[in-house]
Amino acid sequence: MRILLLEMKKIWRGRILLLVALLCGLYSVLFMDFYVGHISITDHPGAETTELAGYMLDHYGATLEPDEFDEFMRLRPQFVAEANQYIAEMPVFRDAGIYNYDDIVVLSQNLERSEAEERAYWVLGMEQCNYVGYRIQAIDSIAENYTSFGTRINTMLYDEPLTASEQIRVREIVSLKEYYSVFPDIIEYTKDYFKYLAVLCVLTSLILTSPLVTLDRARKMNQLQYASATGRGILTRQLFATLISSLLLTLILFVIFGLLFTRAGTMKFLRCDINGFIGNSFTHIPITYGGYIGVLLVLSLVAAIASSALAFVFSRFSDSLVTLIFKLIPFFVAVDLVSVLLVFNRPLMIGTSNALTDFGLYAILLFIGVAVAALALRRERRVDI
Amino acid sequence: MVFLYELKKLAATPALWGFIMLCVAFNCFITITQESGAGYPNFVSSVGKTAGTTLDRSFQEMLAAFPDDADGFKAALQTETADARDVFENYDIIEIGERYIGVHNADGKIAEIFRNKYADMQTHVDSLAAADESMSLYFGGGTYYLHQSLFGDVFGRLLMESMLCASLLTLLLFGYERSHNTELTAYSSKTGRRLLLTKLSASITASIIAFGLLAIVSLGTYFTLNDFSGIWRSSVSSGFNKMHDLIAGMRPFTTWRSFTVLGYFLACTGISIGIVAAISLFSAAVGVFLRNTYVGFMIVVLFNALCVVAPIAFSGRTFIHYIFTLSPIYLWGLRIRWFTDGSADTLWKNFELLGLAASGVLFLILYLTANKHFARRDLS
Amino acid sequence: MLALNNVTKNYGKFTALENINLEFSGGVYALLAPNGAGKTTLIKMLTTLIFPTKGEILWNGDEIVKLDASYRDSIGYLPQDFGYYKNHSPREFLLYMSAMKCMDRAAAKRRTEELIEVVGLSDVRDKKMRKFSGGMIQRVGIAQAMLNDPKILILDEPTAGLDPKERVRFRNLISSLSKDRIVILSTHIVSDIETIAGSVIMFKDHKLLTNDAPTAICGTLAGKVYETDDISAITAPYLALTEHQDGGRTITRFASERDCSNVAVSAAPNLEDVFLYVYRDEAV
Repeated sequence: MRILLLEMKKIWRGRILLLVALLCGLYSVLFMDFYVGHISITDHPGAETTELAGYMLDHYGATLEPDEFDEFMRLRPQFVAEANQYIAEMPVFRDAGIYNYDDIVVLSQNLERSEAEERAYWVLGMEQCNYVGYRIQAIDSIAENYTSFGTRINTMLYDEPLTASEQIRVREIVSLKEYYSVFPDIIEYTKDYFKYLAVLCVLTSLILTSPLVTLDRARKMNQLQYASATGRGILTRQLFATLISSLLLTLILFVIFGLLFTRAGTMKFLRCDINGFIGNSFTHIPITYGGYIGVLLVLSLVAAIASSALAFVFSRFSDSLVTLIFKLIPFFVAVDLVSVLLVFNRPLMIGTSNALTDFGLYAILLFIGVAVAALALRRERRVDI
Repeated sequence: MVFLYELKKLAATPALWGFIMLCVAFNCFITITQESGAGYPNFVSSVGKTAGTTLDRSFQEMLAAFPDDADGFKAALQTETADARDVFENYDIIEIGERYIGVHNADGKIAEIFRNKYADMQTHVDSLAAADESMSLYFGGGTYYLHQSLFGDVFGRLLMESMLCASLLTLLLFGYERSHNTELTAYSSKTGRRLLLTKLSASITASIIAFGLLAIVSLGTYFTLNDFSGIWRSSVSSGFNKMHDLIAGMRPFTTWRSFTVLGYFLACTGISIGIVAAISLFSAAVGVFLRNTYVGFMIVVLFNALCVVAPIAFSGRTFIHYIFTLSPIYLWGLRIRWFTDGSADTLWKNFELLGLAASGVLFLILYLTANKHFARRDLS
Repeated sequence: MLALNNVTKNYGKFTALENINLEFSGGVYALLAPNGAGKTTLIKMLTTLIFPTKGEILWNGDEIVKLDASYRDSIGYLPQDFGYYKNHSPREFLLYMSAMKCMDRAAAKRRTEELIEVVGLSDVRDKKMRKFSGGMIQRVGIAQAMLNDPKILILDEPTAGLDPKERVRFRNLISSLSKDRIVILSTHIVSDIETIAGSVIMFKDHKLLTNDAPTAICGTLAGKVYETDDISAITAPYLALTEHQDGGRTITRFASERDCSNVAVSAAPNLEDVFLYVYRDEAV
């Protein structure tokens, strides 16, 4: 145990941690902030739809029964009244010859608008009108999705090449009324955010843990280690230290980036089934938003630990840190291709994935990682130093 | 002589060769698996060989003489070229510039530079119009896809791999004596600390050689599958070629000077080599300052990431924002716009040359500072 | 002539060497001091790997840092922990080092072949050094130091870690190479010095203690070194130096400022005695 802790101390060096922290910050700005912002701020009328889904959740619970739907739709006249008030007060509408929301509806069907009409049309969705235009669009879209859900499912059954089990599952969503869930259409952004988090977990795990064995060999410490009472068993402890460090770092990243993700304001939907009427994503199994995020995190964790195990083997066969990096870069790219193109490409979703691509590839990766590391350890027992 | 020995050290590093071979394999795999619909461009290229690349009456006559094909390529090309018109005729690029200025709320000096840039470009556009430059074949209807695939995708991969390779081999060479414990012997020899200059020249040379190796195989594979032989003399500013951004949408591909496709290809290769050399120079400076090559590589990566993040942070389109767009990594990101006006992403004309020069000077100063520091550093 | 004028070297607040004045004009000079006394610091200054904090080092009257390459062209250096490229053969490595020493190709080849013969590595000249013994690596090391036929040959602990046979062989080699040049040898193996050194330089408390011939240095303890098989009989204050076995008896060699000839046998002092006597307060 003491050796394990000492090896972990060698891994968790201040300078590398500082660099990892800097990398996380830059990476977050480059790849992850976008998704948080799009859920909550910049994507219209998506942001308004999410806001209204939150309203439904607060007032009616995780599902919206038909009678609750009727009550919910009473919001629409309020929104229209609000829009009419803005239209009456702001000259931009008057200049375009618009006097109430019905004029906006007519205008929306007219593709040849004058400059004044174009300006007026968009102003209603802007901040100065409290996004009321988008709120009306959102509530109309919600109503459309709720009332025509059965038709959408039938279209899906006929138009998309679904397997027999997928067809059964799609019908089950209707028959079990899973689609009553008020969950908004935020799966794509969520999935992409956690996909990039998975890549970051792999990257930082590799950076933090892989130099351990290479550095020991470069400093000829391995001779002292192998000649000590611990002997070549040190490598087993170093492997465990690597895996535990990878696990710890990944958990830390989960906490940090999980907290950052709360800025999107979607955490309130954790207990909602994601096969709701608002979205278009349906899963192979009934699963809540929280459960889905949990699945994504487990996938990330497996990827990070498996990568660290394989990197441990690379580090054993690298004379210097630069040669180690030469090996790690293609490895990292390969893991990312598996992650981005296959595993995190709408995991668990009907029509785009199956259990093999979702979990099988990472299970294989984990198995290969640990097996190759174990083989390397076994081989090391008889290697001349 | 020492220079050759330094190159030999790199040549004797199996991991470097392994990396290059994996990159080559990756590029070839992507090129082969993404190859689709090359039939039409290859047909256009064969037409270009016979009928030339200028869309005039003679071209139409020679195209008409081509035998009809089952795929309908000839008919498609006839339709496309018959409809071709000079896209630079009455093309108001100043108005495009004004749109960029408006969307980004540019004012003061920045707006003035933007206006001057687009006023200069307008002059060139008018000359292109006078010369009927856009009445050029390139790949006809397949131009946008192939131009993007070569100068965007293939060059993008090639350059990114070469930059990584350049950085790593440079750091490897600068850390070589330390990792082999030969620093004391090497730096107490007659060559002494001047060895660093030799290492620098060897690193840059090796980086360019690595780029060359990657380019020969990757581009060789690409050109084997996509026949460019008939359109090299075509103008890159063909009416079929477009550039795209969110503000101006699709618009003609307009360069600061007239380029044939071959000329443009060579110019882009030149810029790529320059960027690879700049990254090698920067890595050398980092390698001299920091004796830990692993941390050194991290610093190189972080610096480049910062150069991408900084313009996002300075989203107010200040001068600082635009200065960061001159960094090598940003130039890599804008590779599809090299030698054009650069859209709203860059402020100055010839941003690729300017960026390369600025990066080169900055990194050289950094390197010389590091070298000066190293000349008086105690070695233990 | 190589001269150090008031040379001081500080590492932050720590003073490794203080106000050293020395002159080297020819022959073998041995730097004799315990670990950490500043031998390697001095050698690294002489090889321009580190720089004096104060003072100057002159070669034939010129400052060596200013002389730069022309000075380094005059030196040959074998570091304490000699690094080499494991994947090179001795010939390849020597050719590489001759390039570093800016020798022309023909001269480098000729000199490499000569030195491989001199250091006795002819049989393995084209074998990778990966599996060489410590002695063979040191011989490659001395060969690389001699490539440019240096005026100053600087050897930092050249015999450390060698077996007795290799050490004798190496000592003879150094001795044969010492004609017409300055050889500066750092060691704390006194038998090496007694055999080949013309002068011994000792440091104490990071300052120069002495720079003299071995006999003269040994002379400083003349009449003060004794041997006895009954150390308990010695009543005068003494410093135990070494012990050895002789016919089943343990003979103790000691030094005393007082005359002990009535209870012990006077012995001729050697450098080891001086070393132990001078550095009696320091961990050796």
